[in-house]
Amino acid sequence: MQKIIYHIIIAFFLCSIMACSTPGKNFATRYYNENKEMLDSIRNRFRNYYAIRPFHLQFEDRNFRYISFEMLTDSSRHIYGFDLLEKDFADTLEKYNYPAAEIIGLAADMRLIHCTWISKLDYYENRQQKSLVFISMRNSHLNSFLNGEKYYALAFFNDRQFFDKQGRLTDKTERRRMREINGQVFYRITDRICYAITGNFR
Amino acid sequence: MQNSLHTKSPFYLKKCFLCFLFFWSTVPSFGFTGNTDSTRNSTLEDAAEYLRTLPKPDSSIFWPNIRPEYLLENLQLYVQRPAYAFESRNTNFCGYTALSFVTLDHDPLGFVKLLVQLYKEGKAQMGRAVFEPSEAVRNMAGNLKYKGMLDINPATQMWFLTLADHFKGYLNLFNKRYDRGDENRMWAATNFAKFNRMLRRLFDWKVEARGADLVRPSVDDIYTFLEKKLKKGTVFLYLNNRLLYKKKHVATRFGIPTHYVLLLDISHENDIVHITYTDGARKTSQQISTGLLKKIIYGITFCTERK
Repeated sequence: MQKIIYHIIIAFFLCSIMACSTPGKNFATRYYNENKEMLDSIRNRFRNYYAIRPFHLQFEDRNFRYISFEMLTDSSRHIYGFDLLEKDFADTLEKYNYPAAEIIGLAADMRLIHCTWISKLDYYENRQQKSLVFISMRNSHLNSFLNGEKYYALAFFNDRQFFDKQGRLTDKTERRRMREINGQVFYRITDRICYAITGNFR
Repeated sequence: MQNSLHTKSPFYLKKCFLCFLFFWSTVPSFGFTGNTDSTRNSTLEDAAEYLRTLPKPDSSIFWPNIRPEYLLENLQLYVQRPAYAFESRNTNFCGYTALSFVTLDHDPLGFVKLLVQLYKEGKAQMGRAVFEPSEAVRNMAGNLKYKGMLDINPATQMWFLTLADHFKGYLNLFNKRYDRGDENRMWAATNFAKFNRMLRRLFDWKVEARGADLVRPSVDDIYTFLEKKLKKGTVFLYLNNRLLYKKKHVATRFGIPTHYVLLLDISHENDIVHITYTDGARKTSQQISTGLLKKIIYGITFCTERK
């Protein structure tokens, strides 16, 4: 009887550990390599369309049907919600001179790889403004009952970044200081692309 | 920018204690209370003129990491592009940001002079608040990084850190002394009662508040209520930012308010409400349902001129 109890306790602990653990570097690098072509394409297209008229795009729901589209100007931000099954999205994009067909294509590809959010983030180095493209994705491997929902976030830099021995993104001038994005430490995939498993998707 | 209530406290007991304190300390926020004024004391032109004649200050012994030329550059930003003055990301400074927009709008000259005095003398007074920031805060100002535009705005860093250092609420009980990185932690968090107290201390206004940290305001028709109040004065909203943006990624989420915004406009069409508010550097307008509007708002602060 005692043996059975021990087995139950051990099984319970193993289950708890599995529920708590989040996939690490292997998952992140593998995920990026498996979807490299699509992710790079999404990033490049987003940068091109953003240059025409700035915007950020978010999927609001778990079924990737509802979109939140942020139209940006220098001093304002207009947030609109759309149902992808209806025509309003294309009409609104055209009305505000966005490349409608291209952005709808981008949203369709984002949906394919469960990408919840794409944006351009400005940051400063030696008081010079620079930018990166920030993408976050939902993935069933990242969600657990105990840990809650996590996102796989990717940061695409335009220039080479620096990392410590553990692959953590560091500050360019203070190499011992971790460089955070959205309050999160990021890890190396390539010298310009980093990832984080994070609770914040934007 | 943005979450004001990052509850990263590692101890369960601490959380229980905070819950107890919340009920104890937010009771005065339920009713209409308080004091303020919304007349403009000066204009941006007055502030621009003052900055034109201001000689470059010497390096301050109080703020060792703020170079005077960058301070002046930042003060010019307040006058030339005020919307960008208080932009920050990944901090718990949203409460201070919301009230700073009003501070700058209400008296730009007074605000710029206050910051110059704070830089030169290490202390300054605004309304009934006498600021004398701690050494830890003074050493950090100018060195904040990865916070968006705040990185290059040392005067705004100085102002936010000073406010967070000076005003304390129950959320700051376990982290009262600044350590590096605390701008993202409970040290900088602002509960609703603290936010209203800041307004009352800084301005000679009549401040009225409805709602609380975990209980939504008991207003039947929140749209009409906000529309009416906005016609008479300045309105701040304390809202659940995660719900506002995230919507339906997660099936259940414990609802807590995390963000302060300054409401600029509100209108409606059928069941859809159009709200315009300041959020960081950008004026944001958004369409939401009346149901969601009621769900996300936890606090309404309303400021009017004292007669």
